[in-house]
Amino acid sequence: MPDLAPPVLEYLYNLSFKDRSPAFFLLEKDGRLMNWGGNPEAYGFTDLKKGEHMEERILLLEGLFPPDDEQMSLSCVTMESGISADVHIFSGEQGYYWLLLLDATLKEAHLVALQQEANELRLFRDRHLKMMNQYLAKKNSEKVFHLTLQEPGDSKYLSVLFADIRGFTSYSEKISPVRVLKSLDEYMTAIVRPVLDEGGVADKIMGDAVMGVFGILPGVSPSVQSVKAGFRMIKNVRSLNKVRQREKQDTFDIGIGIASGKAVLGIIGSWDRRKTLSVIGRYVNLASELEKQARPNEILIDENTFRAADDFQADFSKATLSLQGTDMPGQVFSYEAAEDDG
Amino acid sequence: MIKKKICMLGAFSVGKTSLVQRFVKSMFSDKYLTTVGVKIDKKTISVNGQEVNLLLWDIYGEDNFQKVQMSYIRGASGYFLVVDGTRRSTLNTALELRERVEENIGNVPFILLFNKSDLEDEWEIDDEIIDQLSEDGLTVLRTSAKTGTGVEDAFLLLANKMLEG
Ligand SMILES: Nc1nc2c(ncn2[C@@H]2O[C@H](COP(=O)(O)OP(=O)(O)O)[C@@H](O)[C@H]2O)c(=O)[nH]1
Ligand SMILES: [Mg+2]
Repeated sequence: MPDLAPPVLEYLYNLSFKDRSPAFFLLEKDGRLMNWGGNPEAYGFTDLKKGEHMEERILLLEGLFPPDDEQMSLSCVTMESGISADVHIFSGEQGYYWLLLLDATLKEAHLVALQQEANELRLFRDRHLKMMNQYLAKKNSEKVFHLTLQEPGDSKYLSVLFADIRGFTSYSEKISPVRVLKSLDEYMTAIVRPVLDEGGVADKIMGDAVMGVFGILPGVSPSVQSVKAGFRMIKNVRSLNKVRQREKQDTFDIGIGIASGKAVLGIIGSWDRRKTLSVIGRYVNLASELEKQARPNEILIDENTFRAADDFQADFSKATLSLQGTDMPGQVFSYEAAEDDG
Repeated sequence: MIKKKICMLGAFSVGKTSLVQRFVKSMFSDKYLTTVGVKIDKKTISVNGQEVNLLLWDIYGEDNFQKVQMSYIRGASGYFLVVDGTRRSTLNTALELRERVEENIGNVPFILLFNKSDLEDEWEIDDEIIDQLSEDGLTVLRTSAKTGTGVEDAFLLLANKMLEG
């Protein structure tokens, strides 16, 4: 115990515990009450008698008492009286135990407010993701599964595009769930539609990101499709941002990565009832890596995509970046939308 | 009278609080009110002619930021792992919790509850998975705190298991 002058101790006590109605009980190993003090009435304990079995009256002791350890504590226990308390149990002399209660009503209210908001937000986002994925799965199955697909497991030349809404995750932690949902909806539509419109398949949405796969459906070159989808995404997001600026709402940019090459296409049964399309290969990882490195409103594409998308080569310039962890196949090219575009 | 501590464990918003409310007070509310810490309720039931006082520990939901502290489950005679059948990820949370609980209090009777069975359209969990889990030796029940389906049975079955064990 530090050597503190009584006025200091008293001050510290008032600071920490005065409003927390401390109550203590001294208990024998078998739960019989030896002594008590403080404010047990605050927790609904009146008519206390020496020698009475407290585990009959304090439900939380059942199974816990006597404790295995020298001391233990439980935060925010709502007692039979309906009052929330922090509970501390620690051993005293001669095998006795101290049980200390501190009012936690304020602390609980504070935590509830925080937790409620956070949980509701997460539920909202999960629901939204689920809806979007269901919608996309339906679109995909209409498009994909009615065609004679190649044998699952075959490899095929595909372009893979990743797009991510920059800064959305941290934003969503600060804003009310309803507004987050509405924003997410607007941005998701702005980036999912181009994939579908260009003949791609928008497969998975992870939080606030989309993966588009091109080349599954017959059509023009997958690289051309993916690059065009990327341009459209940026255009869509730009015009969405203009509207939102006028409405004094927060705006976001997107980053896009595209890579092309042979990848394995499979239809994988998941825990979910529906089957999902999955693409496996180094180009998938590469596209995802490029997306992470892309600056706001930038499209980064790998060399394969660049070569195949001849019509658009003039829009791109050589980029230098440090790709960690991935062995970089060749040169990376970058497109950055000019400020007044769109 | 015999007293037994039962813990409600699972991810947030799976229906732990609602199941206790349904069982103890025959009530249900659609409104979601998050649980902080633990609320202890009790209910006396009769198992094979024997009166048992069940102490129900309704514990806050597990998530990545806030793991369930194992001091809450000490001394439990049994527990429910509650899953929201419309949110697949809550099954993972429940199975992870089970491992931690077993490390801490050993092999104590438990039942895996797939709650919200009334929400068929939104159901995310295959029958095959549920079959697989029961083949693996887990006791699995479907419940709805909203309609009450399976709730009483779940508590009775767990009480039975606890008294056997
Ligand atoms: N439809 C339906 N909703 C439920 C059911 N059980 C709980 N809920 C709802 O799910 C939300 C979370 O329930 P709650 O009991 O607070 O979950 P807890 O966080 O696990 O304690 C609330 O809005 C409940 O009304 C159920 O069986 N069916
Ligand atoms: Mg709860």
